[in-house]
Amino acid sequence: MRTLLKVGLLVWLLACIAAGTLYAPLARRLFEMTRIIYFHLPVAWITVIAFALSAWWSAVYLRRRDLVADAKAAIWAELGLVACVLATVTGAVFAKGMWGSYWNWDPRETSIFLLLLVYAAYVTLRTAIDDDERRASLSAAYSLIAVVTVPFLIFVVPRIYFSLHPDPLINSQGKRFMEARMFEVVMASFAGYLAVFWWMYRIHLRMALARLSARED
Amino acid sequence: MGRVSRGLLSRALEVARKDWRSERRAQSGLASIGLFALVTLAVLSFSVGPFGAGADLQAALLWVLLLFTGLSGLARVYIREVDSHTAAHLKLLAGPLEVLVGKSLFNLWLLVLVELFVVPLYLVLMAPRVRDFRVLLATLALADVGLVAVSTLLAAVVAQARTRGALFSGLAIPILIPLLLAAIGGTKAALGVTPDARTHLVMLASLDAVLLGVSVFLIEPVWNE
Amino acid sequence: MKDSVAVTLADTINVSMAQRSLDQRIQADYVVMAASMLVWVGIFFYLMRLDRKSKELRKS
Repeated sequence: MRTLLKVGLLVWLLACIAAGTLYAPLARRLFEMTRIIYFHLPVAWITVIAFALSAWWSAVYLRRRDLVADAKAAIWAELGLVACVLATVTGAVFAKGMWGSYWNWDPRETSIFLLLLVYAAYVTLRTAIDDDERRASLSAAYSLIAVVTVPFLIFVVPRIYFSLHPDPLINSQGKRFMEARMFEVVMASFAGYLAVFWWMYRIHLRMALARLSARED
Repeated sequence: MGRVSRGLLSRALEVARKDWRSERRAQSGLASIGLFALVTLAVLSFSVGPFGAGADLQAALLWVLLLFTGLSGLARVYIREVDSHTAAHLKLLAGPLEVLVGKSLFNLWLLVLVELFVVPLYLVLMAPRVRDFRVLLATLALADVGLVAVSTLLAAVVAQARTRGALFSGLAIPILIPLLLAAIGGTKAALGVTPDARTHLVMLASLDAVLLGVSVFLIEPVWNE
Repeated sequence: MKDSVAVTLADTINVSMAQRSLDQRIQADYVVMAASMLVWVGIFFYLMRLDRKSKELRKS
């Protein structure tokens, strides 16, 4: 049964790729480069979701002192780092296609870069501590410090600071700037990639739980 | 209630005073931070000079200077305790929050001392044209509070890990970037580049509030027994 | 196609694309689609293997 679900997920993703090529129209200035969007947007959203989940499990750890919660926080941070790198790179390619240069430090680019730094710092911090409980407390604390500052950059800064680059496609109100079909493919892809990341989370969680119980023996 | 908060503040001040006493004896902290600031400023002045930079750049360079100066010296407060094995003794004397407040006050004091020296020197060597000194002072004050809040809390984190120096900068810089942007914005307003200082000062104040709040909340799991 | 300077990457691609026939463009689209599908099938096989390994680990 489970295998059937996974094969279904594969079929879904392949259908999204096909839809992106055959069903959805091309954007005016980008033509064939439009299709980066079907990967970049979902992965960027997953980055933020993973970040939130990691912070959530960090808070749960501090409340309950349960190392399983810490494992979950760490796994989401690692997956988030992967997603963040992918999002940054594809975003830079998209920026080059759309506005002529790979990197301009506009608010959205700055926030994704900041997230990248935070993820990298979190992972580095974890490698620098040997004791399990210490590592869990300190990285949970860092995760929560980061989670209160990053929203400042993501939400407050674009409103206060003038951005030279209009970013119609990247925020949630971008629907009116995007053709309906493109939006459909983006959302379908998002569902698919989210499922893949969830699957990877389950795999990593199983391995972490195995490691934790081995340690107890 | 008043008695409790007075107890907290007086014990925090004791921690701060103790740190200041050992600082006065050894003088290594203030001297090294001051030297770092001076050398960095000298490099900036040598390479850019008073006429080589527009107001935008002058605003940014001031904060690059202050950021790296802070990163070079503000972590010592906790690292020293762990390295000289006085951490356990300190934990007997005062609770985590009192230690945090005390060490933050000490860090703030150090930073202000260094800035009293370096900022006027910056104004002389880099010669930015300051239109509004009050805005500059307000920016410095608010950003200092935020910088110290983040640095002290992360110092407590890093003191319990390996590879302190690089790790501290790596952890602190992502958290400090919004603060830095707001500080540079406020400085630009003080230099007359942008007309609106209020947005940046409000941003600094709210960041400070959030950072202080979160530090108070997190110091216990970070620095407990 | 306007005779303008290719500023963005899209422009560069557009210029080179305009020099190809519509058939060639569609062909290129299919090639890219097939390649990305193959990559995903590969990723899936890898994830299925990891999945199985992790379940074994958990049981032991």
